[in-house]
Amino acid sequence: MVMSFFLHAQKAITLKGKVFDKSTKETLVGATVFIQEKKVGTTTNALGEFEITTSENVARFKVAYIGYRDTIIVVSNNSSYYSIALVPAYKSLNEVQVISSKDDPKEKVNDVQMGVDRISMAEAKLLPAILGEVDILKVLQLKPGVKSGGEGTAGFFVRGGSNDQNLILVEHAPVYNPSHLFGFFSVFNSDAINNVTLYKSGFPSQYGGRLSSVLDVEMNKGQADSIAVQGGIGLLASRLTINLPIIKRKLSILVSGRRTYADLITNSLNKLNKNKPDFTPIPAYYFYDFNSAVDYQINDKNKLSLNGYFGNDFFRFKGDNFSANLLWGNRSATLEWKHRFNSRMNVSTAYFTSGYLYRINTSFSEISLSLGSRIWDQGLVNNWSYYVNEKHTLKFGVSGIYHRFTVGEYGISAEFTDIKDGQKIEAGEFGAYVSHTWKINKRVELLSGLRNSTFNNRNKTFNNLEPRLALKTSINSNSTIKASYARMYQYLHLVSSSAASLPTDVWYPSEEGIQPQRSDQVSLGFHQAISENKYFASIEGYYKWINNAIDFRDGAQLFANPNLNKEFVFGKGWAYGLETYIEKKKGKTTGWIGYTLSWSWRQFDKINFGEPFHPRFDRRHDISIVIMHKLTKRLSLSGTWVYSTGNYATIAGGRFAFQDALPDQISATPDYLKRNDFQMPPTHRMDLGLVWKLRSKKYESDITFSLYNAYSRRNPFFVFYEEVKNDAGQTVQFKPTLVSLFPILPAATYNFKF
Amino acid sequence: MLLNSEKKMKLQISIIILTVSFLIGCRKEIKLNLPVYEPKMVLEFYLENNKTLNCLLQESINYTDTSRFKLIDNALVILSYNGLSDTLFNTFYFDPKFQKVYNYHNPKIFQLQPNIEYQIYVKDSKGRVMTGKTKLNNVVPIDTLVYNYDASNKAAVGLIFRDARATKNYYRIVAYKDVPIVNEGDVWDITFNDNLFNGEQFSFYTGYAFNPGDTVTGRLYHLTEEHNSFTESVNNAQASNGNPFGQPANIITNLTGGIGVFTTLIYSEKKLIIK
Repeated sequence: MVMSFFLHAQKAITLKGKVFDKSTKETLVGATVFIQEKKVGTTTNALGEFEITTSENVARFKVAYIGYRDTIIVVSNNSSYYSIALVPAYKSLNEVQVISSKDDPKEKVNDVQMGVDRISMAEAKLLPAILGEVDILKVLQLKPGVKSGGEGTAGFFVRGGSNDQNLILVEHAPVYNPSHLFGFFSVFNSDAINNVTLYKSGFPSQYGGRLSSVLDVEMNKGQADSIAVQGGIGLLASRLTINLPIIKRKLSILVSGRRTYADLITNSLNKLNKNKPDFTPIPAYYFYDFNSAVDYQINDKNKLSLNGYFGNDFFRFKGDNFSANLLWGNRSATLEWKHRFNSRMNVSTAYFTSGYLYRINTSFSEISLSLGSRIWDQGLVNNWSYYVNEKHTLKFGVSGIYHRFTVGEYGISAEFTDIKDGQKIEAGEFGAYVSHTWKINKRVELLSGLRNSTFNNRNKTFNNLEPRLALKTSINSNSTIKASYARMYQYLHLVSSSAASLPTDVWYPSEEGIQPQRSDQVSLGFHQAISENKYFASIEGYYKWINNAIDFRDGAQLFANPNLNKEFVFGKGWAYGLETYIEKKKGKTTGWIGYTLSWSWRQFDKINFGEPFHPRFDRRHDISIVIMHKLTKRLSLSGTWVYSTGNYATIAGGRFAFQDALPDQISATPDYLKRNDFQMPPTHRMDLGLVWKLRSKKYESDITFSLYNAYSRRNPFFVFYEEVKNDAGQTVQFKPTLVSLFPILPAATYNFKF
Repeated sequence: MLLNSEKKMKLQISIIILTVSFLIGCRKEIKLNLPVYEPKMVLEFYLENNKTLNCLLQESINYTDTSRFKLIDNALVILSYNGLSDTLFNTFYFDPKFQKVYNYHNPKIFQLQPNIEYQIYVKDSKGRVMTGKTKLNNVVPIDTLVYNYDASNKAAVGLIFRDARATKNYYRIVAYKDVPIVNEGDVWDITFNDNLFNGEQFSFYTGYAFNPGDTVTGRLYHLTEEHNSFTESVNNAQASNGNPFGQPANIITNLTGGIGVFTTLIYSEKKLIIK
C-alpha cells in the first residue's frame, strides 16, 4: 500500500508523525518506522508517535506493526507531521502473512537485541491447539531454547532455567502462576491477548527479578470507534469479548471472559447416579477468567489506561469420609498514564496490583483442615525514553514493588482444637535502571545498561548491580553478528516439587540465610535475512552460570509448612547450548524450523551426594517444525511436529520391605539411587489444524479444527513401578511402566467477530 | 508442619490428578536402563520397654526382583548400652498381637533407661558392617480419651494431650480395637509433629471407625527424631514412586553402612469402652 505525501527532500530531514489503527483510530505503540535504504529506524512511543532523522535524502519510509499490513509512506514536502493509518492484516485475504513489525526478517537482523521471540495472537490462532483452546504459551514452546514442562502443559523452561525463573508480566504486573487446570492451560485468553515478547538473553535493563527469561504480555486494547464483539465456542471452554466505545475516539471499554464447562456435565452425571450405592461422585472442576481494558485518550499528549485480570480455578470433590474444595487464581490490575513531553521524550507511569492465592478446605471425619497461601503485590513503574539524536537513545526509570506473602496458612478444627496459623512476610523490591543505545557507526550498535536492584525482607537488605550489554555488528545489509551479556538477580523463589504448575506452589522471598539467585549469561549469534527478506535464519549459542541456585532437601515438606526456609538447599547450576532457527515469513506457506542442542546441570552439596545432575527438564535435542499454508482465501492449513529427548526422572533402583512397629501392611519401599538418573524415552508429536472461514457479509466467522497428537504417539508422562499380583491378590513382582497422557485428540471451535 | 492428615490430603489430590491421567492416558511396560543396583543392609530395630529384643534384618533387592524381600541370615547383631551388651540371635520371633515377624531375637525382657545411649552393631557374613545409636524419649501422658457418635451410630475416638513447649516433639497416635490379633483394618494411625500446637493442649480424632461395645486402646507414641525422619522418608519414597507431582525422596536413616532405623519406642496408653 502506498500513501502519497508528495515531497522531494533535498537534505537532512526529520520525519515526525503518529501511527494508528485505520478503523479504530487507536494509536499503535511500538510500531516500526524504517528507512530501508538508509538502514535507520525507530519505533513509535507510548503515544504512538515517532521521530526519525536522516542525514541524506529519502523518498519513502516503511511503517509496520504486528497484525497490520506494512505501509510504505512516500515523503512529502507538504507535510512535517505524518498521520499514518495502518490496516489490520486480517483484512488482507491474499496470503497468510502475519508479521509483527519487529518480526520482519531485516528488522530482526538489525535489532541489537538478540534472543527475542515474538508471537502475535493472530499467528497463534492459525496453529493447532489441544482441545481447540489456543494457548500462546504453547506456541512459545515451539521456539528454540523454550521447552515445555511436560506433555500438554503450558509451563515453559528457557535455556536451562527452571519455570520459576521466568518473569511473566501482563501490562507491568507480574503473574505468579500462569496456569489453569494444573498447568495444562495458561491464564491467557486468546481473545484478550494481542502479542507476547519473550527475552531469552541480553535482557533490557528495565527488566529484573528472574534469572532466565522475561515474557512481556500485551493485552488487547479497546477500540474507541465502534462496538465490536468476538468470541468462540469450543469443546473445553467458550469465550466472549465485547468492545464498547464510550466517547468516540476518546474512551473505550473492552471486557473479555472465558469459562470451561466440564463441571456442568460431571454435576449432571453425579445427580443422575447419586442413588446408586457403588457410585463414586466425579470431582467437579472448572476455571474462568475475566479481562478488562479501559483506554482514555485524554489529549494528544496524555493517555490513561486501566487493565484488569481476574481468574479462578475450582476443584470440588466429595467422598464418604473425605471432601475437598480447592480454589486458586490470579488477580491483577494496572493503571497506566502515558505522557509525551515532545517528540523526543516520553514517560509512562504505571501503578499495579497483582496477586495469587490458593485455598484448600478439606474435612476428614471430625477434623476440618484448611490450607492456603497467597502473594499480593503493589507496585509502581516509571519508564522514561529520550531520543537524543540519530545515534543515541536513552531509557531510564525506577520501579518499586511491595510484596506481601502469606506462607503455609492453615487451620485445624476439631473438638477441643481450633488452630490457625501461617507465616506473614512483607518485603520490598526496588529497581533503578539506565540504558543507552549507541549507533557507533553504520555497522556497529551498542546497547549498554545497568540496573540496580534492591530487596528488603525482615531487616535484611540485598543490593546488587546488574550490568547488561548487547553489541551488533553488521556484515552487510542482510547479516549481523550479535553478542550479549546479562546479569540477573532473583529474590523470589518458587516452592515446588514438580515440573507441572500446581496450585499449591508458593513463592518465598530471600531473607537472612536465603541469598538471591544470580545468573550470568553470555550469548553469541549470527542472524541473516535471506531471499529478499522472505526468510530469517539465526544461530545463537549461550552459556549461563547460576549462583545460589535453590532446591529442596531430599524429602522436604513443601506443603503447608510454615518453616519452609529450613527446607531450602543451595548450590549452583550451569547451562549451555546452541539454537538454530530458520523462518519463512512471507508467501502462502509460512512457518519455521527450530533446533536446540543444549545441556543443563545443577550441583548441591546436599543432593545427589554432592555430584552434578541434570534437572528433569534438561533435554539434549529439541526440534520444532511449524508450517502454515493458505490453501484458499477461506481455508488455511497448519501443522506442527515436535521432537525432544526425554525428561530426566528419579527412578528407584532397589526396594526393601518396610514392616513398621505397628499393625500395617508390609510395604515395598523404593530405594532411590541418584537424582534424575533415568532418562525417559523421547517425545515426538504431530498436531494438525485447519481454519475454515465461513461466508458472511455481516460478520467474520470461522471453524477451527485441530488434531492434537495426530499419529497418537504415546509420549511419556511419567514412569512408575506397577505391582503384578497373582490370583490370590499377592504382589509377585513390580514392572516398570510408562504412563502417557494424551492420545489423538480431535477438536473443533467456532469463532466469530462482528 | 508434618501432619499425616495433610499428607493424606496431598496424596488424595495427587491420586485424583493421577486417576484422571490414568483414565485419559495409557500405560505400557518398558525396559529401564538403570545403573546396576547394589543391595544394602536394611534394619528395623524398635527398642521397647518391658519387651524382648527383636529386629528385622534384610537386604534391599533390585526393584524388578521376583522376591518380596530377602532376609539376611547368620549376621552378628549386638546391642550395647551403658557398658553392657546383648546379642540378638538369628531366630524367628513372631509378635502375635501386631502380626510382626523378626529374624533376630533375644528373649531378655528389656528395661529402657533414660539418658543412656544405645548402640547397635551388625556384621553380616559378607563382612558388611552397620552401626547406629539412639536414646530414650520421655513419655507424654494422655490426658483424656473420649468418643462421640455420628448419625449412623459409629464412634470416633479422640485423644487429648498436652505438648511440652521446650522441645521439638514427634508423635504417633494409634487407636485400635482391643482384640487378641490386631489387624491393619482395626487400627487408626496418624503421625505428626508439634509445629501447630507447641506447648498447647491438643486433640486428635479418629474416623468413625468404632462400634458400640468396642474396647478401644489409645496410644500416644512419643517418637525419636530419627524414627520420625525414617518413617517420613519411607512415606515420601513410597508416595514419589514415579509420581510426576512428587518430590524425589531418599531414605533418611540413623544407620551407617546400611539403611533403616534403630530407635527406642515409648508410649502412654488409655482404654475406653464405647457404650
